[in-house]
Amino acid sequence: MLLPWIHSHIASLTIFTPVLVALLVLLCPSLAIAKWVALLGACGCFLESVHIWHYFVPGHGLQFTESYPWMPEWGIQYFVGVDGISLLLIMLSTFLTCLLVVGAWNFEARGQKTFLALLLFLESGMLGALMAFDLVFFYVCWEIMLIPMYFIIGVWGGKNRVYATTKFVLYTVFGSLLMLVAAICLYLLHKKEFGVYSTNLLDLYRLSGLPASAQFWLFCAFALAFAIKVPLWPFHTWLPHAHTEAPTTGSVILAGVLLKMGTYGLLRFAIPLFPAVFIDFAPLLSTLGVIGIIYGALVAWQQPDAKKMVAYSSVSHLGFVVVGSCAVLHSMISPEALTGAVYQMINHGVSTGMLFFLVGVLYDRRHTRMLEDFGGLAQPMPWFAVLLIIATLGSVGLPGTGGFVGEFLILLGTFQSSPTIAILASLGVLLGAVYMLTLCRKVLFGPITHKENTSLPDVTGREALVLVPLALLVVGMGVFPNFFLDQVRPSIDHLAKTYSEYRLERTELPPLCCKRGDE
Amino acid sequence: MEVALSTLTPIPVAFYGAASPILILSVAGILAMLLSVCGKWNRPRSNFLFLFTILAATLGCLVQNGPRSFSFFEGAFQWGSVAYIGSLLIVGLAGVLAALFYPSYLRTRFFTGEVIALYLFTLLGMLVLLSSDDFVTILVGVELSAMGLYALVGYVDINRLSLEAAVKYLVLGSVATAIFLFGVGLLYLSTGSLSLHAILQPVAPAMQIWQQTGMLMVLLGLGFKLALAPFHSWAPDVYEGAPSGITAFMATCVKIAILLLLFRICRFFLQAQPQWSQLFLYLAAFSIVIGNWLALVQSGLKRMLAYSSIAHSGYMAMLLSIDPHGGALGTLVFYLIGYSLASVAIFGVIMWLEEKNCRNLHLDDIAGLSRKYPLASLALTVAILSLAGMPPTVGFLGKFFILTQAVQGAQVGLVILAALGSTVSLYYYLRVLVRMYMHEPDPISLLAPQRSWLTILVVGTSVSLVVLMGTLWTQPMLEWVKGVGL
Repeated sequence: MLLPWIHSHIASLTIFTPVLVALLVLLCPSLAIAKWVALLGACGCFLESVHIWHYFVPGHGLQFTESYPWMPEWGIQYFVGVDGISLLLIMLSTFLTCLLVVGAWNFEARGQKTFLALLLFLESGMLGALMAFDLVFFYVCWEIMLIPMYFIIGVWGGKNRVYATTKFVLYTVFGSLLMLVAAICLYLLHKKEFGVYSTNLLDLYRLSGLPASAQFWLFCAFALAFAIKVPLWPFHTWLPHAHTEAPTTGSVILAGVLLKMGTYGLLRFAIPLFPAVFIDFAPLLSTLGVIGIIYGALVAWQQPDAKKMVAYSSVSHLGFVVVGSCAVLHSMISPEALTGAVYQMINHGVSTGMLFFLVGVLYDRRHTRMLEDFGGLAQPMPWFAVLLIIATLGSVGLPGTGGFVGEFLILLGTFQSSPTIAILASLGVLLGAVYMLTLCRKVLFGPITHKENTSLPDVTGREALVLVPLALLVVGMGVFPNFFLDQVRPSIDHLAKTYSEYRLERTELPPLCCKRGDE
Repeated sequence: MEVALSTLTPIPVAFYGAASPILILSVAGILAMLLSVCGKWNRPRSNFLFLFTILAATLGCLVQNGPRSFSFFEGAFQWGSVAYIGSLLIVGLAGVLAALFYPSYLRTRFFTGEVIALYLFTLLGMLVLLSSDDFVTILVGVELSAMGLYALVGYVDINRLSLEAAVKYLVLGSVATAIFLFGVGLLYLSTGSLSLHAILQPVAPAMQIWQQTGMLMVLLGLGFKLALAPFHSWAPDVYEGAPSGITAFMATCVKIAILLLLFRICRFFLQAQPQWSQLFLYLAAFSIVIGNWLALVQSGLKRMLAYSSIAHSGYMAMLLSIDPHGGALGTLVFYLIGYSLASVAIFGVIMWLEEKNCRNLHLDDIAGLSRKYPLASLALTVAILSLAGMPPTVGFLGKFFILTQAVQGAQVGLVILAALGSTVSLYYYLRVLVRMYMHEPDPISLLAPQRSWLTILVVGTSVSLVVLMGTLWTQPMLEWVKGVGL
């Protein structure tokens, strides 16, 4: 009895498990119990997402849908579901949260219980935003994500945390409030065209009679909100501060999932809702993406601070995702580029998350992140060196890592639509290798210049528990890309080919008995 | 008027039923004064019980009346859905706020016969101004509530700041009343009637200028009372100087009364002069800009809240400028409920913190509050986030509905301004959170207040409602508002 019920409510369960566990964590009498509760909750949520992954049927549109009326008169509902574009990101969020709970195990800061609760609360927000197919519910989750992140950076962050966190929130809210206005306009335009109020995304996709000028402004508002979140150059200025000041866990989740919300939003909302304007804007967006790629790489190269370097590398990597999403070719987006973009989101989450975590490992030991304070760490910390090199190679995009697959697909697709952009973007790959290898060289190799570094302990078992799965994933995603892509490719192809009149069908719940690939 | 006197008819019995809330409040107010003269009753506990019996009785009669329509004395007493919902909210909130006084340091000052009488008369004034279509009765209501407030601001806690606030409020409030009264006079001059409905009737061309001037003055008088920019200058001083409970009373009850009155009047005015919606547009825009802008630089907590309340009045005034038939009133009431709940929670915490310190709180006073009082900080956080319009609170939905209504009313420019204003406002709301969570506590800044179950109950309930109305209970709430007929 229970299993069918779980199966039919799996999306909601996945969204709400973390927030309920977060409340439990807060109520726990002692920290030791709270940590285990949080870990169990995060793992439970991951298992739920594995359930979704397992029963997900590629190419069947929107699955695991659930809808309940929220404000029926206003046409606003709670409507969630999973499709191929969000599937991988959902997996990434639940997976990373599990690892982060382990990572924050010995966080030893004041209010660790609250910290874990906020982390889980954040997970709920992210999953809600990824699964929401109702514009208002999406917006609610989108803003909810800010609140825990605000506290995570602001309370547990570095010296300049208040400035960083306020800037982060204000930037994001500035974009999202304009998006809210645009969403309201869209909602009323739906009423004008069909006579009923609806914020259901599947209904909004059917809008056809949008006046061109309205589409222009609405696209601008949506794209601005997402561009700030990505962050696309020149809206990236909040990112280095937020990343640098955030505690390790915060940086990982920020890089791992929150930034992807921007590109995800572009794919889910801005492109299919306003296809006509998107065509006009695609060159601009990919140009900004390329500028971001090169600018991020150059600035990262010059950073003396390891964390800042990784933060700027995010600007560069996400530029690739934007370029891949905007490779328009004969009124369709290049499917290769779009697949690469989706794949690159996951790669970036894994490899950059891992890099932030590794920088955190260093910071825990030395309380500094300056590159000049390190050097020759390969000797005292051999395992650390191996892991850092794997993460670096993943980030650089060496063949055999996920980064290669993603970047290759993006460049392949983009080259067909715009060779110039592709060539400039590949310059970014080159620069990426330069700064990441610089990081490796300065940290790992050369003589040991500081006496403290000679006796640094290697990665502990707990840290290995976080880093080894990530390292395996970096390699696994490079060697078996089809394991991941087969699940999601039909949805991506569908979006790429029909984005100008995108429709998404709500399908029946996949049968519980039927295993993947049986039909 | 002589004609009216000569044709005076006996008062219909049904009137007593319909007007029972008003009658109860007026009798109770007089009774409270008489009892305090006797001297024996002048103990906080008995006054507390007296006040709550009266408020419960009034609420009971209000519920009994329901949102039906009555009209007596040619509209001088006019009961309808606006009056019903307004009175219900005002009396309910007044009770909640009075409960917050019980654990505060002002208990012995507040729960005395004369203050209770003032409080009841103020409530009476608000109920009267909501339940009339006649300008003279409205004026009586406005003045009655204003007079009570002038005294409450200065008398409950006697110190230099509150006296200054009371005098300022009295002087500027009287000017506002005078403007309002002059406007009413001009309307009477041009239409020959004191009824709201008379505005819709055509007037002689020569009189049109006087009618329009009259309408303008009535609106400005009320805008003054509501502290809409550019008539807001009294609000920060009065909010800061008044005892916190009275500030909360002004931020919630008075705001509800004046806004609903303004809405009722606007319904007629806009029908007569549709182009006047521009006026509200400017008032709303000014209030949003000035309120949010000046709140950025405040260091006093209540002063900051005063400017934020000006901005919120601005958001709500946006609804005045659009067609009142498309459910704008329901949206206004929904927003007012959310705003009032958040305000009650905030002022509840402030009053509790002030208990031992007996002074105005500055932002620096709440530094590190979360370490000492995590639950109070949580309540304050949720309420502040609701004022800032962040989900999952009711503040977000209120904002969403207002913006939707305004886009529907084709005020996209104003909507974008409101969205930008809301972004700016987040900065000063976040300053409160920064102080509470991200600053080290200052050991000497605040004396530890005592635990008070009454405060916990009130603040806890309002915060829960703020969250629940933003998530699960939105629909029941909307249905209730709609069922009332708004």
